[in-house]
Amino acid sequence: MKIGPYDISEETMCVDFLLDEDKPFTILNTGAWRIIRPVHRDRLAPCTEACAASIKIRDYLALITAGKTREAWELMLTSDPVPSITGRICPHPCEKACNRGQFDEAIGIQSIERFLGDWGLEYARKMPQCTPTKEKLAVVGSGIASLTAAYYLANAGYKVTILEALPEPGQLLRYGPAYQQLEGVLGKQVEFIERTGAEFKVKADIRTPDDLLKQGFKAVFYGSAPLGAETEGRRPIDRSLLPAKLARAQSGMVTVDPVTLTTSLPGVFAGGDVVADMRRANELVGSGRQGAVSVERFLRGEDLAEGRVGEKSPVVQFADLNTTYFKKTPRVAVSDEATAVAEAQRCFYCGACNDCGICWFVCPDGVVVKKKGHFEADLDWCKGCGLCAEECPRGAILMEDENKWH
Amino acid sequence: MALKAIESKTEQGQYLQITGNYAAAYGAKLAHPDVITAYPITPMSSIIEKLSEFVESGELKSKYIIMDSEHSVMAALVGACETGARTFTATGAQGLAYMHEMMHWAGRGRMPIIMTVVNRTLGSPSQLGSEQDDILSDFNTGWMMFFCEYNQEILDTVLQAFKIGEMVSLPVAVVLEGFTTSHTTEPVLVPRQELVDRYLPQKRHVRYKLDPVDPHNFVTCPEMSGPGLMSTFRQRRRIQEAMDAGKLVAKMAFKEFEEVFGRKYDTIECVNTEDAEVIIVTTQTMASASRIAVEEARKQGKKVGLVKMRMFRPFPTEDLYAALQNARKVAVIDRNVAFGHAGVFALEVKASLYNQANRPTVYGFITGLSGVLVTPQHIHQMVDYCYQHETPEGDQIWIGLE
Repeated sequence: MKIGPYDISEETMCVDFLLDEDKPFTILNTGAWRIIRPVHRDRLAPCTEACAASIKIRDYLALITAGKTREAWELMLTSDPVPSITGRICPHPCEKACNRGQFDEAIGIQSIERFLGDWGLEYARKMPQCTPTKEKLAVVGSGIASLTAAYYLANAGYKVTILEALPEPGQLLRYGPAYQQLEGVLGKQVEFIERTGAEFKVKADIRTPDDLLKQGFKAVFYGSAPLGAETEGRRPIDRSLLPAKLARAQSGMVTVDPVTLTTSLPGVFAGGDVVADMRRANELVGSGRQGAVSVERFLRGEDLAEGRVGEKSPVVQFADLNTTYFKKTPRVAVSDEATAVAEAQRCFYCGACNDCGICWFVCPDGVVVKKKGHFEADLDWCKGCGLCAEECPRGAILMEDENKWH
Repeated sequence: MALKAIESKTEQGQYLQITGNYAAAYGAKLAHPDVITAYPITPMSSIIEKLSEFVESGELKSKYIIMDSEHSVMAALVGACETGARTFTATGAQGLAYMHEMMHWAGRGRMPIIMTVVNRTLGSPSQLGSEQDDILSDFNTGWMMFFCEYNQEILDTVLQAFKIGEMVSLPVAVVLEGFTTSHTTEPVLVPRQELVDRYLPQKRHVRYKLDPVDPHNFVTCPEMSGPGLMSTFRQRRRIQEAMDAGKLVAKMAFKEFEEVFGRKYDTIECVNTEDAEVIIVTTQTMASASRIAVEEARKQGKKVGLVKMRMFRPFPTEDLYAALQNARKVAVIDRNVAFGHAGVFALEVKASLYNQANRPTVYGFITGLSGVLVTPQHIHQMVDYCYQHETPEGDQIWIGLE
């Protein structure tokens, strides 16, 4: 029943006045104050976002500052198995994106990566030779993308044979202008990949994919475009040397599904500069790893595409940080562990909590506590004032609507 | 003989010769509140005394509690109201001032408590005559307010108050003048209980009830206010919405009252206003005096009319404007004064007219303070002042001091 614009409830014969939404609210130990609550959100740092290989830069830098160089190297390997190479020739978009660049100078990420890669290659010499236990796989080419794919598949236990037509592995790394910088480390990098169980076959007679599959390889990955004949001291990329059966675009690039890297032939995958004019080291590493993921899923009969097309996570901007707590310091030239640590210490650690304790310090009610070694607000007492979020140097705390939690 | 004829029974009920106070008491009895709290004060004490007789005799089954003070009177009713009880009390002057904090509490807490306020001068000095300042001090508390002129109206308005207040969940004050109305006997038709039961629901319908055994966090009734400042901001808006709805609900309640009891009421009462050039706006017994004055003025050829204001909160802006828009002059008569500015009714009438297209000139008269009798002669004085002055000589024109 209505009286003017107002509703009269039939049941109670009273004019109904309700709140806009009948929402439950949180009752703390002191009252029902809180309408927003602090939440730790591990957000994407701009360095990782800019890197096509999505290297967890922030996190390995933190490990270095904690003196955990080995753990840092191991973390690096989960995204980039050739840091000695990328640490020398990658155009380092991470540094351009680094938020510290808007404060004083961007972190010298590439120099630290190079240090870490070299350190790792030295360390790895002590590691035993691994024996593969799973299926035979062929990785054609030995440029960055192929080396990356080979590493991940060998690391997973597959019997990887890297087929290289040229006398030495590395392709453009060996026969291109980059060799000037890589001469000292390329050999050690190849050794490292061999130690994970992959086998290099140089001067290999690379057959068609059918032949390879007939030879007993369960899957094939073409990672690096073959190089043509040497002219004027250079070897250009020659994609016509790739098997004709692989469908390709007008440009000559092999066509693949952009997510799963499947080619027109079943069991045959391609990435790197085989499928695009890809030259940047971080892109090649990223593509190589995706190739390995596809091959492994293929062999295990898993869905190739699942979980690989994600939404873009928001990136921590400079404005999200609170730089009051940082002093302007110049970049440290990295040459050894001590300087690597010094430079890594300059990292803001954007978007994630590193237990610096600033939130504990500024909380006016003193309700930030350490739970299992990590700082967090005790929600039985937190009134949601937002000071911790405002002060957090890393922008790791977000104030979120309390109603989301009911 | 004559008396016997008056105290007669009819289809509707029984005529009794009763005072204004008793009329309020009978009205409350017919509404059978669950809880009555009491603290005496002149000149309203006979309301609660009469109610205590009803309770003692068993005619009225209410929980009757004598409190230590008026503040406690209202606090107790707030508590009772939260549990869903229908509640009633009465007070005035110093007692009303004493419970002022709880007046806010009840209004802002949306407690439909019904109270009769018998106007009396606020001390100092300690005086017993009627002034309206006691209830007008509560003008922003969220209480609805109805001003009554005669005893039948008092009983009827008490019944209407229960109906309206419970429908929009706001407390209601039924206001009458001390002594002139509270202690004056008039014939009042006290309706049969069955008739009243057709008009008023048997019990309050409550959305949220406090269970004293398991109370939880009970902030207000009927709606829960949430955390943060914003939710109470919104809740204040709801109070205003309740007042806005109250205007419509009051009209509905009056219409239903007429259907059940045959007596007509509205937010204002207009007498001879259609062609009036000067309209008196006033309340209570000053309206009674004005009725006579209007009749006499008309005989003199003066086009004078009267608007008796019954509803003060919510302020009946639309109804008032409809009555006043064609007049040239409006004489508002206040038996109160907001020291430092003007009489409260004059202030409110002026404010309600300010943005309108046709704005009569408003003359604010202050008279009858301390309960001094306001006679038709005084009204004539004020009407003549209006005729003699194109604009008032100030915000307050004091009449009757000689």
